Amino acid sequence: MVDIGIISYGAHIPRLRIKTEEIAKAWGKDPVSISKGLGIIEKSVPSPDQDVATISVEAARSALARVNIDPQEIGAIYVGSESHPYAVKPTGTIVGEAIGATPILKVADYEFACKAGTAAIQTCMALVKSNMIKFGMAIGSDTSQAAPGDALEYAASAGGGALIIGKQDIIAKINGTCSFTTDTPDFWRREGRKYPAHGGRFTGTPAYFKHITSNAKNLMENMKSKPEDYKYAIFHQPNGKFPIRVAKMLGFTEEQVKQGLLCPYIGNTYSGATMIGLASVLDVSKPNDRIFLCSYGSGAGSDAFDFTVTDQINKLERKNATLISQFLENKQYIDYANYAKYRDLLYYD
Amino acid sequence: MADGAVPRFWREIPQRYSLIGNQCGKCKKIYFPPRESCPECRRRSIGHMNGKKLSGLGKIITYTIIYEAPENFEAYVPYPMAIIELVEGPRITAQIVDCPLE
Ligand SMILES: [Zn+2]
Repeated sequence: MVDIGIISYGAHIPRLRIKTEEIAKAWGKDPVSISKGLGIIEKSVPSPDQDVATISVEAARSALARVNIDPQEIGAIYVGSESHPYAVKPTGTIVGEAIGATPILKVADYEFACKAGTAAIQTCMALVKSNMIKFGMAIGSDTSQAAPGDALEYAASAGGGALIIGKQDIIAKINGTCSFTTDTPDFWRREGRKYPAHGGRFTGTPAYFKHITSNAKNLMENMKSKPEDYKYAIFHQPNGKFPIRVAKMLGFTEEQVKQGLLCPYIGNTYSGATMIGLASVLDVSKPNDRIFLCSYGSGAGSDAFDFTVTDQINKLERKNATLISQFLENKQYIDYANYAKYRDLLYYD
Repeated sequence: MADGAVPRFWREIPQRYSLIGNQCGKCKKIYFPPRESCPECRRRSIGHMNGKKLSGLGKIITYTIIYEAPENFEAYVPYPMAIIELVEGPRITAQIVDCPLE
C-alpha cells in the first residue's frame, strides 16, 4: 500500500500579544490566580488588517516555501475555521488564488469549532488515497472572539496552520486516523451573534475530556500502540491546563506534550491550535519520531492521528519559513484599550 | 464599496494578492501595476508584455502616518502608508501592516 502523509507544513501567528494580567486588571480580577488557573501567560491578537483569510494565506505560503512543488498540482484546499471573514464567500477561494492553485481546484470551507482543520486533513487524505488529487492542502485558522469580561477572553486568540498532504516525498506518514463525535452542546454561536455562548466551567468532563480520551484510546487500540511509543503528543489546548491533564489521564507524560503546547504563550487559536502544535513539533522532529495528535471541537467531536516522521524531513527546507519558536519571540504587547479597539469591542451607533 | 469597485477589484486580484506585474519583452522594463503597453517602446511592445511575479522585497522611499482616514478605514487610524521601491524597479504605494508605528 502506498503511504500517505504530510509533504510540507506552515503556520502563522500574529505579532501582537496581550498579557493575561492586562485583561484581568481591566475587570478587577486577580491577575496571578487567573494566569495560574488557566495556564496562560499571554495570547496573540490579530492586527486590524489580519483575519482568517490573511492568516491562512501566510500559513499556506509558508508550507509552499519549504518544498519545491507547483501550486497548480494542488487539487484541493479545505479551510477549517469558526471565524471565516464572510458568512457567504469561501475563504478557500482567496487562499487558492493567492497561492496560484486556481482554477482546477476543489475548495470548501469547513466548520467544526476547533477541529475543522483536522477534519480537512482527513478529507485531503481520502482524496489523495483515491487518486482524485495529487496534493491537498488542509488549513486550520481562527481569529476567535470572546465577549468582553467572559472567561474565554483570556484564551481566545489568533493563528493558523497549513499542511500539504500527498504521497510522494512525505516528511511524516499518516499511520492511522479515527474520529469520535456526539451531540454535546458545550459551546455554540448562533447566526448573526458576535460572541459565542458556552455551558460554563462544568463542561470540561463530558465534552473535552470524554471525547479526547475515548478517541485517543480508540486510535491506540487500532494502531496497537501505547503512549510510550510516541515521542510527541499534541492535544487541543483551550487553556494551558487541559492538555496536560488529558495527557496524564491517557498515560502520556508532560515531556511528550511540551513541544506541541503553545497555549501558555499564544492562547487558544481554536482551529489553529493542533495545527500550530504540530508545526512546532515538525520544526524540531527527526526521522522515526512518532507523533500522536488529538484535536477537539465543541459540539462535539475529536480527530486523532498517528504519524511517523520519515528521512525526508531532513530534505525539507524548514528554515525557508518562520519557525514557531521565531513567532514566539517576535511579539509586541498591547494594552486593553488597544485590544478593545483592534478586536472591535467598542460600540458604534 | 461603490458599484464599480467590485468588478475592478476582481480584475486586479492577481496583482493585489500575488504582486504580479509585467515586463516589456523588448526593453525588459518591469511595470507594476501591469501596463497594456510599454510607454518607451510603444507599439513595438504590444503583444510582448509578459506577466511577471515580483519578489515583494524592496525599500521604503518615504512614508506618512494617516490620522484622518478615508471612509471605511476610520477604525484603523493611526496607520502608515509608504512608497516602496521594489527590487525589480517599480515603486508602489501601500499600507504597511503589522509593524510598530515608531
Ligand atoms: Zn519597452
